[in-house]
Amino acid sequence: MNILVLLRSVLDHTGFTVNRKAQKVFINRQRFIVNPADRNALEAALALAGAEDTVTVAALGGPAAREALQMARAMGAQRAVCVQAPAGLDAAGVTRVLQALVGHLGGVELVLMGSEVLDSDMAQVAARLAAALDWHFVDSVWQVSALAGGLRMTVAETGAYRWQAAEQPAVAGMARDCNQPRFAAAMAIMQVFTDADAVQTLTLSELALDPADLAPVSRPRGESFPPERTLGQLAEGDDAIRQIALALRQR
Amino acid sequence: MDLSDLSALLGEDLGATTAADVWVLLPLAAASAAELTLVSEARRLADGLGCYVHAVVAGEDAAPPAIAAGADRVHVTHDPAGYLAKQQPEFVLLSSAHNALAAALAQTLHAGLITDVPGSVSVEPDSRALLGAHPVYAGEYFLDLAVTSSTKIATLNTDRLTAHLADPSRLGEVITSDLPAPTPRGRDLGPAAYQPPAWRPLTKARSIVSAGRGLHDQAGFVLAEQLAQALGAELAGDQSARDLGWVDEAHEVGVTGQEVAPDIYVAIGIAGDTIHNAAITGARQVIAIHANPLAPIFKVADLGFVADPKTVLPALIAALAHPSR
Repeated sequence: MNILVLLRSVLDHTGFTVNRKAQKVFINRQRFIVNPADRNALEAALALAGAEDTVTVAALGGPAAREALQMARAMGAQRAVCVQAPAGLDAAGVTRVLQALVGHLGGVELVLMGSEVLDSDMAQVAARLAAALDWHFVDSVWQVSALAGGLRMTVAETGAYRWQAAEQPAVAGMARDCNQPRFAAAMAIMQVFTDADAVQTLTLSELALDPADLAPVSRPRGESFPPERTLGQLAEGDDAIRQIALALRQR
Repeated sequence: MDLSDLSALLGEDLGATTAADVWVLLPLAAASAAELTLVSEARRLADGLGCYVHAVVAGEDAAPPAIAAGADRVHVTHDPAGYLAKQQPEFVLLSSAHNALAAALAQTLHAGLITDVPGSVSVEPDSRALLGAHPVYAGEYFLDLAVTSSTKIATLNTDRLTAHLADPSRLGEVITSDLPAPTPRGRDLGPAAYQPPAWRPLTKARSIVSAGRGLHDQAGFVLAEQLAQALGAELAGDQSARDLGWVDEAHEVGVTGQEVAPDIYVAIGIAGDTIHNAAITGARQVIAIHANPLAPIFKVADLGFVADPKTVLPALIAALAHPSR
């Protein structure tokens, strides 16, 4: 089975602070990390893959994406592809690129990515890609295992887990913290980072894409902030339990 | 006077105006009270734009409450998403519980989508762009987004919308479509014999339910366990809970145990001494339930409830399991 895993780079949250009063994000150290749920998706793919399976990791962008792909190779992915896509793509644009990539790679039977993205509205890409490819989509997946003639996915529902037999090909959104991503061995890291061919680069034209087709339909207009915390409020009266339940659901 | 009379008076052909109207997709057979707030939100948006509200529902029973909540026309169909995809609507609202459906619909309609909007959306008058906010970094702040495609979709966190006021006297049109239900993909294999991994240390947990002596006994602690399960949260306790043998050192919150920084920390029956409270300063939101109104935990909690936790936890767990209550 050929498994494709998407890795997205996000700003490390330990490198900035949010000041709600000043309505600003103060970036102290601009460092990018792999989106945590995407790391879980990679680990799920590596755990699922047998000797005859291939795990390909893909990312869009520049140096941060390339570094993430190198680490993924060191962790055990057999192939890494960095697509040189313009910055500022929205979810529809990223989906278009991935759709073209799946076609370019050929033989992909399972695409895994995180079901949430820390810094943007890109979690929708998984369901969009499944719709674009007309593949089965399963979200909030905690575990993927081989089933006779297919895949079994463990899916979280309210307070419980269920098994689903997934059609192939499929796209799955992996839940954050569903597994513990493995560490790459030091020797593997050295080998990958000294291998110029460890990461294959693809341009949009190699994917038969025109940048004009990727014009965003959703654009950022800045940032806004929730109100400052006010401590010491009490829920009172007959409505108190509903207030507490509401606060817990909104988390 | 119903909608058709109004249309006739205005000289409008209602059928011709649907593309520019506000559509709400309620894909479950029975829309919950929370989901009906979406219809009220669509009503507010439509009143500002001077257009109609259409609700696409999966069962006839959902039609009267949708009209009472503000819909002018309700479309009953076995395939709400497939039906809506044929309408080429301009604005579509869904609950954030249906993000995946919204994304698939957005892809089919070549539409932009904003997910998990924590409240209302608006429309920019000149460009007719749909404006909404998307929470990032677990709601630490919001990205403000504008959707400019011909079809614009947003999913809204219905818990953050103002509860709708139903008007049973409202009149609306009900249209039944014979579109067949889509063939389900995949197959449900039933409850999974699966335990989530316990590898993650408490210090990295995103939500924690923490128990204290105010739960009185083991039966009280079991209630805290049930709340943690309902929330998908890690279970922990303060030093008193460790002394009682309810939690081990790895799950003791306090300067002498673990210092934590979850998105949400729920302190149940914890009075909140200095050793405990100093260890939760990194928590983004603290909710506390304790019987003593003078308990220090209330000074560091975003929301507190003065009550015997053992008495109120069953009702709270039930309220979480049935949001419409």
